[in-house]
Amino acid sequence: MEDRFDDVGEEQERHLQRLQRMAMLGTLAAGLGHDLRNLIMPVLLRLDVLSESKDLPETARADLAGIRVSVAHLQRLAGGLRLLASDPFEQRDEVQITRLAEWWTEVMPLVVDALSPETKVTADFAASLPPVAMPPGTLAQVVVNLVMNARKAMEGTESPALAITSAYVEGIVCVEVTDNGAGMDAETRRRCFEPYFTTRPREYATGLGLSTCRALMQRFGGDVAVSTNSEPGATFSLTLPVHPSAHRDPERAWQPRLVHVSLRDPRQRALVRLMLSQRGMKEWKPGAGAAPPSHVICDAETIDDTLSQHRLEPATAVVRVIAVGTPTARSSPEDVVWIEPTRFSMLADVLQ
Amino acid sequence: MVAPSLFTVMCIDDNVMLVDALERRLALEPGFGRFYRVDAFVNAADAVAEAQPDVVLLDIDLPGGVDAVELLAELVQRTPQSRVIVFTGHPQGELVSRTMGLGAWGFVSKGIPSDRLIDAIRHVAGGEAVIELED
Repeated sequence: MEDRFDDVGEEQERHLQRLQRMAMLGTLAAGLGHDLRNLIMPVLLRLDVLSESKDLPETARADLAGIRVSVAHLQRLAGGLRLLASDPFEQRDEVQITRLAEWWTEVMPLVVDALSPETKVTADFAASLPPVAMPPGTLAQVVVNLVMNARKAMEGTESPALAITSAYVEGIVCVEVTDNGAGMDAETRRRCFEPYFTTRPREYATGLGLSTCRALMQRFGGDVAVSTNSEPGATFSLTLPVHPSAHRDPERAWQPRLVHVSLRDPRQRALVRLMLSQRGMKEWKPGAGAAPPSHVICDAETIDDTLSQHRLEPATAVVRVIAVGTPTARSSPEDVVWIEPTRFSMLADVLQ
Repeated sequence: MVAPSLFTVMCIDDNVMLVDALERRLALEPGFGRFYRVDAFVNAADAVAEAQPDVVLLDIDLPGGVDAVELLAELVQRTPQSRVIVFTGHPQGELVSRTMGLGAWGFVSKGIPSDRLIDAIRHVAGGEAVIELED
């Protein structure tokens, strides 16, 4: 009996050590991403200076262009490290929306670098896909995890190939990651999402990969499953919930919610525009045939003009009106949400 | 928007390679006036008050126990005519709203292409607020 307790204790100790090692790698990745940014920016600035030289031979200009391409690739890798280093279970301050086509351009270098050079990688993320309600970093961590498993499975495959496809299906977006590797037997398929289950030597695998992937996906209302009908190789299917900011118009493509921003302070305008883009919303622009905004964000000075522009009586307004400042006697209808400038970040909660 | 005829920039950053390269790059910009650097970060607020640059690029990770967010708040209070751009290799969402809420005119990640950094400096010098994060 004592031996069994010793075994369990030793196993738990090893799991703890592996988890600590993973946490350390996350910290290392974050530090590396930071240092790379600090090193790459001066290189880019110096390349700008060199490119401006009048007496530079054509061959040197071509060399400079080649260096710039390599450095840009390095910079994208640094951006990908940022995604991988974020704590997947602590994403409250992170963007909660991912536009897959844009996301893929950032994650692609990481995926390609995670595979052997001879692997053929294809991916299809249509720009018309609706945004999904998941932080980009979390999705990157899940997909890179699947890709690293695929690399292992394709060792020994003559023409390794990885295909990532995506499709919108009734309220969700489905992303499939398919490799042409050794595949999985029935037992592995059945147990692969169990914590600590692994087919690799413990020294090289934590066994936490797929179970963590599933926990992450489910945390954001999605899931991951393994398909049984891909031979040879394996297909993992991710289901991602569509972000609530996207609403379906049967006649047109996905339309984001529109927000009329009427703020005088340029700093507040810049911050609101960032908040809108992080929530899949767009700034409303006047024009013939323009759809009405769902929100109006104004201040004490602009509220009257802005509301009259939309011919809105605040008491009957269908749009949500948010004003930054202190309510004035002239412009303080009851259904306007007022936000003190010193508590501007509260706007993020009101915009949800 | 009309940019000032000659705009001046101060860079508060301990990365000497970056500061040197930025000085060289800005020297090529039409309308650029003068570049200032800070060596003693504990006296950075005094240096800004003395030079009164149009734009201050403020790294968020300063050595010597200097809290850059506190320094930002002091600069906004003391020298509001010098517009601060927070310049960081740790571009986090929370930091953007915190520093812009304190009165920064810009938030720029060090992970963007160099032309977007130069555009950001120009726009802030011209009175526009800018947030430039990695794509």
